[in-house]
Amino acid sequence: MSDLAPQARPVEWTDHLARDLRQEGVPCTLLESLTACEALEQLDAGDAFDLYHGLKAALTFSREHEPAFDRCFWRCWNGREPDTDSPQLRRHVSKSAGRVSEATATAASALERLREAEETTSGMGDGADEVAGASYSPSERLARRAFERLSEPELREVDRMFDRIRLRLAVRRSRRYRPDRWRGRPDLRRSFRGALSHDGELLRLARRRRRLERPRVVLLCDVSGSMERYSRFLIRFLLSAGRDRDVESFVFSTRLTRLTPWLSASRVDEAIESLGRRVHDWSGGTRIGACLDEFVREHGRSLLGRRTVVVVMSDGLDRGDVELLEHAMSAIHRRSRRVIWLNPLLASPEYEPAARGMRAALPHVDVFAPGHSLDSLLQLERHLR
Amino acid sequence: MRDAIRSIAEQMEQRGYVADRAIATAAHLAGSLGKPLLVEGEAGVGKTEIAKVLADMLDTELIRLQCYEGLDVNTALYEWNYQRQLLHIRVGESANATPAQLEATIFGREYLLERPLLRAITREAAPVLLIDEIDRADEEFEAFLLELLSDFQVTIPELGTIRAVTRPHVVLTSNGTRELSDALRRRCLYLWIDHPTPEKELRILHTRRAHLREALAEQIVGFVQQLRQNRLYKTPGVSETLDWADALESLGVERLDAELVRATLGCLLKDRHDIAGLAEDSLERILARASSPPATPP
Repeated sequence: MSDLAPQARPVEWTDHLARDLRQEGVPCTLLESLTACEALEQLDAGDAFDLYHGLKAALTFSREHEPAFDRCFWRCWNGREPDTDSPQLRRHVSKSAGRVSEATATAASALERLREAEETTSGMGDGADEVAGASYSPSERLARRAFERLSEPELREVDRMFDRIRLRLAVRRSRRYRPDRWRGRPDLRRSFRGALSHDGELLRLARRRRRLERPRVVLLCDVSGSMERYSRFLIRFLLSAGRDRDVESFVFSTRLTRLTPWLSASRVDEAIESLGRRVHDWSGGTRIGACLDEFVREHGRSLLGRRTVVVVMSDGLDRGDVELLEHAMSAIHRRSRRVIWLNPLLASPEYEPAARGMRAALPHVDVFAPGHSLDSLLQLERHLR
Repeated sequence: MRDAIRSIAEQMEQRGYVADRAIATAAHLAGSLGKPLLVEGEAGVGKTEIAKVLADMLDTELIRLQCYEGLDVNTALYEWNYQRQLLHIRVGESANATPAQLEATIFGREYLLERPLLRAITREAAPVLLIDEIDRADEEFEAFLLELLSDFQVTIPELGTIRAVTRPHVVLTSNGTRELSDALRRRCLYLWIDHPTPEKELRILHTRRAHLREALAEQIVGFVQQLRQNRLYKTPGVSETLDWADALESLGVERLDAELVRATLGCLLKDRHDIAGLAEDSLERILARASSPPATPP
């Protein structure tokens, strides 16, 4: 790197750094490189820290880029990896590495279970058909049927219905207004404007209504052992719904896993396939509290807000810290538009939310509804207003 | 270090803002390249303060646009003064003015209500434009802002295009309650402000609360630094530290003890659960650790 010292050939050096950054996944373009070159003229190219801070401001545009920038910059500066004894750096490295591998393991194991379950149930379709023989249409028949008895072709139909739910999920009244001819509040601005064209005579009162807007939906699905009968379909729902821009899906058992990275595949099957390829173990326990707490900490900032509806799908059988669960649920409740808890057990008339975890969470839930069948999921949209 | 950067850091410190190298460099570049500066960081680390200090340093006006959901062009950019226009029409009618004369006057500059963004680009001397908490505005507004930040001109249908007389120094802040679009990020120089190191926080206390006794200042910083290591829902920022220092001072405190800390904890922690979660024993522990020599910065 000695032939390419920043003092001697700053532009080439910066270009080299930018290319290095791109290789590390920082999406800096020619635009950022140009800014960096302009910045160079304002900096002391012989001073490492001048260059470091200045080029960081110019070339990166999110905090997530910082570790990559640290690596690339010091590599380019003195031709070797940065001093990994620096505690800050070590923290970055170990944190991100650990998170990725754990997340992969959990999601993959969830999907493997899902596939196994599908294989064992695919033969059960015929018998189940007789039970629901009196129904009117295929979709209605499907809707009433509990999840655990669906055949492979029926699953396709379910996917299509999920797509429809997904579209219906996506409206709420915004804080922004749009003009309306007849209904809504008077819009003085437009009324006056209209009056100007009639010599200032106010002939018609213009009105405005709140616009429709897409809410953000966060789906948190319990995939622990006790939820197994339901979770494989719920995951299907998650995968289908999660492809939408405004829907974020997570699964949890003892760890929280964000599904979004796996959802880029255009079809549900492909998403399941790609998840299934990374298979390891499966944990049967549940630590709802710890997982929801992790959600609030890691994703609460960017995902929770006035626009957000949070849907938790779980039976509330928690083996972990109940206090933590209460804490996390209250944080979620405070910071979102609405919290919906779907509990498959609620479908049974005898069920009472007696589990400690469920009892702790209930005060922080706006809607408590069953989530055992397609029908119950179809009703979801009613709660999203 | 460039002299320019050092001088910016010094000037900022004279005005009570302790700027580390990253902040001073970013401020220097934002000024010399004429680019907007996007500042992100936890609540209370001094994002908004940067704009205020910059305005003071440049001896220019600070124009602030506080963002919120539903913020639209009429509140941010301009609005016609309809009431006045109507009045003028009525008066004009009785004075037998022709429609053409009326029209020529009511769409003049004096009937235009300037909102912060328009004000920022029509000033003779470049002001500092602070667009605060841009993450609270919605995507539509962000898109509009993008246009303004690239051309520094706006078009008002009745009046024509207004070009910036001088380019304002733009500072945007974000708390990260929403992901900002990459397009907006790319327009800006980026600065992330972390919670301060113990040394920096101590210097901030010295600068902002000069009369605070050295021993107490050290204890305060030690405690807050330790507190930030805990798992909290709302981590206290520098502004909380300053509040707390004020509270302790007004109580005439010489040394921290557990009882005192508990009584004044509301200055630092703004979440019921965080306060409850800090059980008596861990408070004692933090206090003990805070009193020992300051830890090495992370």
